[in-house]
Amino acid sequence: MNKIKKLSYISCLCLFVSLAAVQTSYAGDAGKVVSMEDRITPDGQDAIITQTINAKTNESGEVIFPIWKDAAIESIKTISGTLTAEEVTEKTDGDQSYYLAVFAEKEKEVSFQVILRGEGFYAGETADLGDTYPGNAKELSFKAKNTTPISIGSYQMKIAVPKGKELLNIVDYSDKKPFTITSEGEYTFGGFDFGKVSPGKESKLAINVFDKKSGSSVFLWIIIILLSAGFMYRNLDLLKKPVNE
Amino acid sequence: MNEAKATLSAPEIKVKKVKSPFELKMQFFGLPAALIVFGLFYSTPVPVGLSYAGKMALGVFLTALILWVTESIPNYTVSLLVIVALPLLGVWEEEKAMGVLGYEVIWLTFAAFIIASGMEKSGLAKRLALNLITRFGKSANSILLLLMATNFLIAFVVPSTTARAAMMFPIVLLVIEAFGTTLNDPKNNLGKLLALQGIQSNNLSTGAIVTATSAQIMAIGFIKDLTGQNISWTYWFIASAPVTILTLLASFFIGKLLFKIPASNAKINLSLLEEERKNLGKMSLVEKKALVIFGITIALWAIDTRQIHLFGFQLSLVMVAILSAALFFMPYLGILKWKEAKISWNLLIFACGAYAAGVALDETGVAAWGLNALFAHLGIENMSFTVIFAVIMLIASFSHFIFTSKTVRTIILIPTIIGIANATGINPVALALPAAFCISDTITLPPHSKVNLIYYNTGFFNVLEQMLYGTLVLLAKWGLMIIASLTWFRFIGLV
Repeated sequence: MNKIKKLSYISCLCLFVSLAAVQTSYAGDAGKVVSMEDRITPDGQDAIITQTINAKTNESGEVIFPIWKDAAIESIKTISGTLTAEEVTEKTDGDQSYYLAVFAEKEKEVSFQVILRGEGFYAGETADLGDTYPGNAKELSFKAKNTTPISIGSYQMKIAVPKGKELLNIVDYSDKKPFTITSEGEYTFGGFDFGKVSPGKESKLAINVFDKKSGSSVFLWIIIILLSAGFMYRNLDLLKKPVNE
Repeated sequence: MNEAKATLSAPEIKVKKVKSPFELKMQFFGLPAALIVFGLFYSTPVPVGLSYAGKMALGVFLTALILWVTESIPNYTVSLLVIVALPLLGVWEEEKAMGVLGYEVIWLTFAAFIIASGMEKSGLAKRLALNLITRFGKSANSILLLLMATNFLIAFVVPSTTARAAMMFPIVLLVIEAFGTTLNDPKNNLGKLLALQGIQSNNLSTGAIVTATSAQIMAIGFIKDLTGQNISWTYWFIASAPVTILTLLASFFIGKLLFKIPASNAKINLSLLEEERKNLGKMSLVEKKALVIFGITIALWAIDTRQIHLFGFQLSLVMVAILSAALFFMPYLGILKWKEAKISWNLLIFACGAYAAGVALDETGVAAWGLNALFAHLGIENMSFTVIFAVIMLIASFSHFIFTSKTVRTIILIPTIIGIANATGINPVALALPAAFCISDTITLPPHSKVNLIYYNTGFFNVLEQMLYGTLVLLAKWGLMIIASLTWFRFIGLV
């Protein structure tokens, strides 16, 4: 009985080790994403995610890259290299799913751009700013989980502020971390450089945007003029002579 | 409204600061100017590289700064408005803004008020001063040096420049009387020196002991919060004390050169001081209790990080101060009742608002953004450490000409200097801590501190004399700081 138990234990162990070896072997052979940048811009309530990927293909010309849960691919175009098929394929290995792009170039550096659509992203959610806060603030957040079995060399994400709104802040901002606030073209972007992203790791960026009510500046200036005039009128004696007590 | 008044602890000393016409104009235009600045920040677009929160953090800070400097409305009122404005404008969450009241720097200041009240009530510092002078004061020079030493020593015991001035001022008056110096004497240089060195030794000694004034406590709070580096009581003392002692000696010699003491003035009659000392009688139980409590406090501060090895526990600087405050209030053991504690709540609230506005600037990235823009323009990153150090120390030492409040100077200087250091790749503590040693260099003009006003009341010196003497001593200190940056600060690993 004991021998049977031992044999079953050894068989199970061998099975796990071999499965892991297969997985590791595939991960080691897959094309490597050297760097990746997501630039999220508005299209109505939807987000257009322009994903720029620099990668090194494997010996079969393959590159794998992660699937974002909240966005679907609309198109793909190469910047350098030649895609053998116009579409990428979705591949699943156990609980891991990722996209596979095949290039004519084997073990070469390629770069390509993927356009994705995130539906309803710019509808946002009410910003969590505590109990005292400016009105009309919304949080826009995007989560990107590396669903591939290999690390992404470096990953950056930028979220554009819709026209007519202001970037209130980047959630959890710290000037000691690689947050960025940039202006590119017609948009202001809040961004973060996540660096190397391990398999299974989730990268999240959130910005708070808000819509300053039109007319609030006029109202403020009226208050400023009234307060200043009132204060100066009440304190005219300050200009006349110093008062000793 | 147009008159600032400071009433000191000793009932006989009242300082009334009458504002100059320029200060009154500042007060008149302060509120409108501050509101216009706020309106401009609110209405104009967000600059590239900054968030709306960052832009408004700067707007709130500058608005508050104008109001603090011009004193159009009380500084604590401005601070309360700052606490409301930060979350309302989306700069900082409400929880964080209100949380400043719980910062250790605020607790430390609070405890320092209680300790100062206890020491003042006990009369221990006065006894110490009188004993030193009557025992060792044999000539004008020895008296001047003793007063300096006494000011330095009581800075350990009394964590408030004003309270120390209030204790020392009557003694200085007695000394002046003991020398037979009168205001009518045209060569009353001894009176000048006693009064001016009273100011200088009070303010300059403060720089050696972190707990000697609340602004310095705030400075190490900023250093800890913005750089993550903890400055201990002992480390501050080790770093700063040699420069302070040399500056005090420089002050002594510069004073002697500027105001020569006639031989007729050099004879002293210590009978008045001796009588005053005798009147104190034997050390009372209250004094003994105060001595024990403060002895424990100083010992724990001085032992510092070695507490864990000696006792098996570690009490931080702030916890030692809170423990000390608790002991002062303890029935039977202590000497204070709650009503006797002179806790300056207005200063605590002022500090809260000022601290919140300063930290919000850093947390929203404004400090880094502004400094990067400035340095890109000036090319400061190409300057050597010594040049940057020299420029910053000069600014830190003489900034009291523009911002008379120690707290305001701390709020402006320390985070800015940390930003400069970060942008230029210098260890921020190497610049911010020496700059913090200069926060109390308020020795050039009477309105720069209550200490100055107390001594100015003697009538023994005029404004020009104080400015000339003060400027020369500060230049000497500046030189000593630069020398220290190349020697002592390097030796102890500060730079």
